[in-house]
Amino acid sequence: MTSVPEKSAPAATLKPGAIGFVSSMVIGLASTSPAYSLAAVIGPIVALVGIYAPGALLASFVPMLLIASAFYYLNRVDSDCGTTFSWVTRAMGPWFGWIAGWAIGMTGVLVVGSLADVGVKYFLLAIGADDLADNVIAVRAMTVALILLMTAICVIGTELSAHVQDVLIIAQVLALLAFAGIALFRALSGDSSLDGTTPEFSWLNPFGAGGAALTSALLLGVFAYWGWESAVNLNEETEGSSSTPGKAAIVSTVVLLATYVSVAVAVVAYAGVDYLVENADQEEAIFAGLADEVMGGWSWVVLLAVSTSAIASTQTTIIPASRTGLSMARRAALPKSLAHIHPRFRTPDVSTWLVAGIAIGWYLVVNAISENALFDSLTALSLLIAFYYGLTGFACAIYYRRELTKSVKNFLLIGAGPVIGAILLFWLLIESIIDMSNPENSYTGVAWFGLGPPLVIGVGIFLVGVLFMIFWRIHDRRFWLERPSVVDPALLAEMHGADSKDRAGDGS
Amino acid sequence: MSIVLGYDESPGARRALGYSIDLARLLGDTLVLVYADEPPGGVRGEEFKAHFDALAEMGRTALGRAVEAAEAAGVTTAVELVDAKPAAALLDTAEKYDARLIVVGTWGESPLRGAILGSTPHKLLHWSTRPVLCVPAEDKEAHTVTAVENASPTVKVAGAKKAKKPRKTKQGE
Repeated sequence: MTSVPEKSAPAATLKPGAIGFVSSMVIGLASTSPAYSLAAVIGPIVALVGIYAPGALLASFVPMLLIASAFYYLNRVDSDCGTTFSWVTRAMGPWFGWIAGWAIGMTGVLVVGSLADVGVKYFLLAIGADDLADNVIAVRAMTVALILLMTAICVIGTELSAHVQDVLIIAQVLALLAFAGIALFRALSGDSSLDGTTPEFSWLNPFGAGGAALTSALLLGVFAYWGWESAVNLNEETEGSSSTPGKAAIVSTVVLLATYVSVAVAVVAYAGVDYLVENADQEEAIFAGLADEVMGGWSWVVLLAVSTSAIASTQTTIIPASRTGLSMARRAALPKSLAHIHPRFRTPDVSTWLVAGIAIGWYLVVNAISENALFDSLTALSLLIAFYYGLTGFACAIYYRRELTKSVKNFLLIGAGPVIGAILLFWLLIESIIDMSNPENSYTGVAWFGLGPPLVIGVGIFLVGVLFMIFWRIHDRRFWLERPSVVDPALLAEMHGADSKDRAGDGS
Repeated sequence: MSIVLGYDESPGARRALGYSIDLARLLGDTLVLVYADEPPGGVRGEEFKAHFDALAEMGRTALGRAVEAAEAAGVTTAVELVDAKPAAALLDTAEKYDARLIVVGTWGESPLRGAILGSTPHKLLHWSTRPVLCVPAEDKEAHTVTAVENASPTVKVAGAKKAKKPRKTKQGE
């Protein structure tokens, strides 16, 4: 909490009662941007594990759920919407904190290109400009323009009204469910235009595929749920905080899982595995092709849903990434200029434009050198996501270590759960690294330096981070003076009594 | 009665401070200095607090200087760092103090630019049930001065006093 002289308003308390049930539920859905995530990962996942795609999507939710518990409890004690960087620093010290901040920032930065690219392509497909969508140069130019536009919007600080966001996200989910419903109906009635099959319960078996394909698929599944934890984080601020937030989180989770699993089942049932494997090299376009097959003239509904989902996500991704830069710079963990706030717009402009610059550079480079740019970067991103989620899980248990034995609930939700989630993610990380170090296991079979491209990308980003961290430690050691600590028991007791009514200003 | 001033060290706000100090002194009002520190971009997403703290820090610096200037001129002040968007913060504070007037500096932008970028004076003029005084910056060049620039308190006091002189003639502009 900041202590602001000459003012008695409590500083960082978010406004209570600000978010209602619908908005709270929508946040849970919007933070994962389901339409984009599905469009991006459904093709590769089916190509990897075939009919067991629904099972893989279900299974990857488990570590996500356990890590979300860590986010929830860390957010409560550090009730300031700080995140992995702040928490890991406090729990495990500056070195771990810095690299976690780097991972979280880079994942945000690197996904922006993919988001904008999908947003552009699906928009072009939705309006029927299929030729333009196939024109690589045009798509790249428009993607760069879109990133610049969205960054400018972030710098200006313009926000879509909450109601518009609510409508957009609900429309997305409805479009996806409509797609799944129609595809299933046509598959079951034998009306599939492709090689349809009848769904079976065994498809939900997460271990059906096994081996390297499974770990790769689970890793992509983690990517699909990435961001879901923020649904849990904002619960404190919802109206009628005892029951509404809990219900909203549960409902949004059920809706999200139902959407992912039903779309996965529908896709496999409608198209059959052979079609999906044959067309796997189309990357995210495979979902667009399926939409055309299933919905015919109505496919624009799904295409537009994916496009709006991806475009909206560019903004909700740039803002946190730039804030992580701001936060690190304010604690002398990054150059001071990144903490600059634009006086007119009151946003971290330097940090935001840097995010855009790296995102554009990354997008252009990876598209130029990789044959499966989207898949390779998403897999590399998933490695980083698994890494920082895992660190967060451990950080939670470490930070709360004195509280764990105080009740069974504490032990399970704050200790065991997050740690198991972290172990699962690190296991996934290590398995994937082993698998990817053999390029034959990768989905394209391409090798860079004798390794799978996603591994090279992921490890490369990590090493750049480590080098920069060492350079910065030598250059400016102030951040490294921060010491790990534990949860302040007084703060835990105080949390429940916080109220933000006393805003009386007094003269000085 | 009191006068509420939205103060962020923008060029227009500096001049608005001068006018507000004069008015408050003439009318014997309390001058309520307001800075809104809710970050744009919403609370969704990570490290919201860092952004919030950065703004609160800017606000404290700005308000601290404004208070010095006002007190040097013998005006009673109150300070409000409000967790809200600027327009909402000003309206709420004006309500709370039952202000006779809300004063804000403007950025001297064209109407279209202001509409796209979001203009606090514009919103206030539409939403406020109280009179609003919009004060433009001295001249175009002042717009390029950054808000966080270090101006010493003495300079600020001098600036406030200078602004007082042309008040009568400029009020109608």
